[in-house]
Amino acid sequence: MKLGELQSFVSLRFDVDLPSLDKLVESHEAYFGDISFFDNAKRYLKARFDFLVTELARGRNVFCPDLFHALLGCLITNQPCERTQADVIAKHVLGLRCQGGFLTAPRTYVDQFPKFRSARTNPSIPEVYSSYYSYYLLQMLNVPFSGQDMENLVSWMVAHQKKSGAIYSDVYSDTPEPRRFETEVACQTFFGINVILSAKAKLPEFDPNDCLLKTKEWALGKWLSLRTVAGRYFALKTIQLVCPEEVSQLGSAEAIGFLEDRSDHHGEGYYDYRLSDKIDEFMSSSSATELDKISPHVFSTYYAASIMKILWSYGASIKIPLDRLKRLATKAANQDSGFGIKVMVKDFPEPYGPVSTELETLLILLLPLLTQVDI
Amino acid sequence: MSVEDAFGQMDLYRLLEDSHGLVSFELYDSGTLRTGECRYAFSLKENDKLEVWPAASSATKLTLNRYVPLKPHTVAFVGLYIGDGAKASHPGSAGIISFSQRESRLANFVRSHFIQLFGDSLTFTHRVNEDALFFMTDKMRQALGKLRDQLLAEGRTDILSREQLEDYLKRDLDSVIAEQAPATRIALEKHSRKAALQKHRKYLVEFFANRSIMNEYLKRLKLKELTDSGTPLSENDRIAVNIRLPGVKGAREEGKSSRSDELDVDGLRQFHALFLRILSDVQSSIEKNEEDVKVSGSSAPWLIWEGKPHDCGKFSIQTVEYLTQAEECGRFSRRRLVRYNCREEGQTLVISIGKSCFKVPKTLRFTPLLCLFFGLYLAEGQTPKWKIFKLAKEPVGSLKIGFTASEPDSVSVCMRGMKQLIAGENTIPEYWRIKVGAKYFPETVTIGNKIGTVALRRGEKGQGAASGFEIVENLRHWAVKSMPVLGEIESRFDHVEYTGAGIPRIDLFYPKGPEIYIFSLMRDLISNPSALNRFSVELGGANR
Repeated sequence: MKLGELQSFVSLRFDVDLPSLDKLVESHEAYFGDISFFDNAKRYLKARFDFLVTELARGRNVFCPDLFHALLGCLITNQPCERTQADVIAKHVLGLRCQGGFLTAPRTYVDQFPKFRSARTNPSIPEVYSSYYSYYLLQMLNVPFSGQDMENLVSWMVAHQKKSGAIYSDVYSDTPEPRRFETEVACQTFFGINVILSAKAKLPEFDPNDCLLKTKEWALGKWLSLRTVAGRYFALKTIQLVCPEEVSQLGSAEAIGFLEDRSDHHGEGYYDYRLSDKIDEFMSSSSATELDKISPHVFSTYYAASIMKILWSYGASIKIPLDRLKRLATKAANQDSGFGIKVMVKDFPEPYGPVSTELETLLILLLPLLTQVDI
Repeated sequence: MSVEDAFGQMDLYRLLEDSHGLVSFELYDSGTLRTGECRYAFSLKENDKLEVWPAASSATKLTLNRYVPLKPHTVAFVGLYIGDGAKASHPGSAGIISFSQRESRLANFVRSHFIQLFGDSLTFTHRVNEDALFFMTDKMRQALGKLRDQLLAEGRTDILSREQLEDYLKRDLDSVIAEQAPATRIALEKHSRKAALQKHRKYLVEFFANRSIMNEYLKRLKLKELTDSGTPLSENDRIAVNIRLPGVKGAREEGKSSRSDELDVDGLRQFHALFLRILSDVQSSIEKNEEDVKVSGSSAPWLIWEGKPHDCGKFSIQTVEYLTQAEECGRFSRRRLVRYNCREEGQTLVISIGKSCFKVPKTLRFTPLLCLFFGLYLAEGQTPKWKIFKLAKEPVGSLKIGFTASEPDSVSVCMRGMKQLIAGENTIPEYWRIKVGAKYFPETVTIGNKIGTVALRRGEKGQGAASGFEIVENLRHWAVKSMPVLGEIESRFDHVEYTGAGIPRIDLFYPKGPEIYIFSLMRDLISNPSALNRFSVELGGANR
């Protein structure tokens, strides 16, 4: 991927203008007071990238979102991918191609789970998010992707747009839209639209207007009902892509109140959801949550700040609480040099899922750029 | 040797003395660390009796035995209560002691152990909770009608006659609600926005008209179940029935039951800390394989096993004789008891039934570990409990060995207990899975957000096997870190399942074959110990 393409991609996905490496380092120094977070993030992402590629070379499965974020972090911090590493990744990703899209994991990996071995229940089928990550991984590595490949990918993507305008595959995950996780639908739709717009730039005869119109209706119709910061973030970015003229009509006061409701009361970042949003799906009643734990996270804080920045850029009067973001970044710094906050369930002593992640470390790397506007 | 022989002992006086009366407990249960403490006063009486009362009030005094033998069924009782008993306590207030179990034989077993432990002055409430929707079918209306005639004939005046019922059913709902007790009106208001209550609002008048007769119906049913299980209601017991408003909880369709039964131990609230301390120390010493337990800072133990709890125990049985001769070790099928076939192979026995084949040790020692496993399984096992008690007497349908737990100790006890029961390949689960209830979906989605991926649901209700493998892999790592014993079977992980309710937890599933053998042992330990004594054998040191 050429520098300009990388800058444009990072701007589209992460809402920042990617400067030169020196400027990025300067932005860290100016924002955090030193460059230790930059150094840590750089080290962590490189170590993760090398580890993931080594795992792949050993024949083990590695997931594309992890590879994607680690590679992107390395490219941003000017740590180029070696040719042999690029070959290993390209072989893996190209091996995931299926029906125009890309699988979430190789069939050999899925076959280890008896539950999924039978053809009827085998979920090694393409998904929107896996196709997005695979496509952009190939782009970042400059792996040739022909016009026919692009046509196949975009055909697959458009074929998976639902009547509602949302984009997701219901081949394996066949749950009706109202019962799907809102973040899943919003995220996959945003990813789908990204690929469709990328195809529009590369395939002159491809006309995505119908598709964009349907997505516009979906995103505008959904906006107010979304209860998670991540859901709102992906919906807003979709609106920004398909109907930017509508952003200023979304109601910035409501959005600010929405984020305020999800701000951590210790002044450290933003939650993705409120405990009061936990409901018993089947009895439509509130859940008892007094023993549940909730934390602000890097992703939800970054996405909250992004929402503010986007609304500001369309004329809303918003001030990003820089100190709140800074405190969250400090809280999220881990001994492994990566960034991320634990998800805890009741008194289970072990964190529920990973603590440091490639994506959240990448977000900390970019955080000073996100806030580098005079608002 | 008898299954009544103790393999350890608790000295309650030592516990109270060494802790200066301040008894605290720490018990990990359902993802929650339960803690609590209570200060007790106590005095040693003649014949090793111990009088204990809460230091804050001498109104409730209990006379206990200073020495409590730890017998196989005492340990099974501990396992049962850890699995199905109430353990919650809140600072400043004592917790309730209540055992949640519909199977009357198990409830009675637990009841008898409370009496052994705390004396026969205890009283018990057998609580039955059921949803009103259970009664909203023609069949149940007929049954209630029959009971109505019977009660009226007996002279009951709190029951509406058929004519009065007809008139009542014509009344408008608002006037019926207006005359209900304040608590009922508050509950109706509280749940008024629930879709299920709205849907079943049409049954409310009928519910209020028939509430007393529904109560009576369930009371009589419970009484019959207790009598059939061999322990009729005594003067120390009472039955309390609670019929829930239609559509508020559990059942969502007419005729469907979501009955739950509880056995409340009355008058023990102040002894909650003492009881839970006993449970937690018995369980943790077995899990950690420690021969004794001391109060911190004390030199003498208050709980002693006669050896390592994974291996000790005087009572053992000849497995082949038990399998082939025990009166009820078999499965009722086609009007006869189908038994296992056994043949010797070195130090093990090869057992077969139908197409299933597995190995067992020639002799089986009843260790504290094994008895705790039996108790835990009878609480947390996926087998409907009535099947365990009926399998030799009537056809019970499919049987499988499946165990659910969210506590590392329980998973560890299950896996190690199964290794004592079985030899060879079938000692480890065929597969295991993680289940996540709807309440913890937000945390699960958060994992996806942290790594930039999505959580994918399945099926009409969004339940079933999760296919977002990035999240699945992370949950597998979480499970193995949380319950290290799963590391031994990590390769047998199968899937993550989204489900309606419950904290993230583990299901272990074992290969088919040994279920009759294992369920028969559990049943006989609980309800027919003499059936085990017949096959007793003297053993020296090790189990196998």
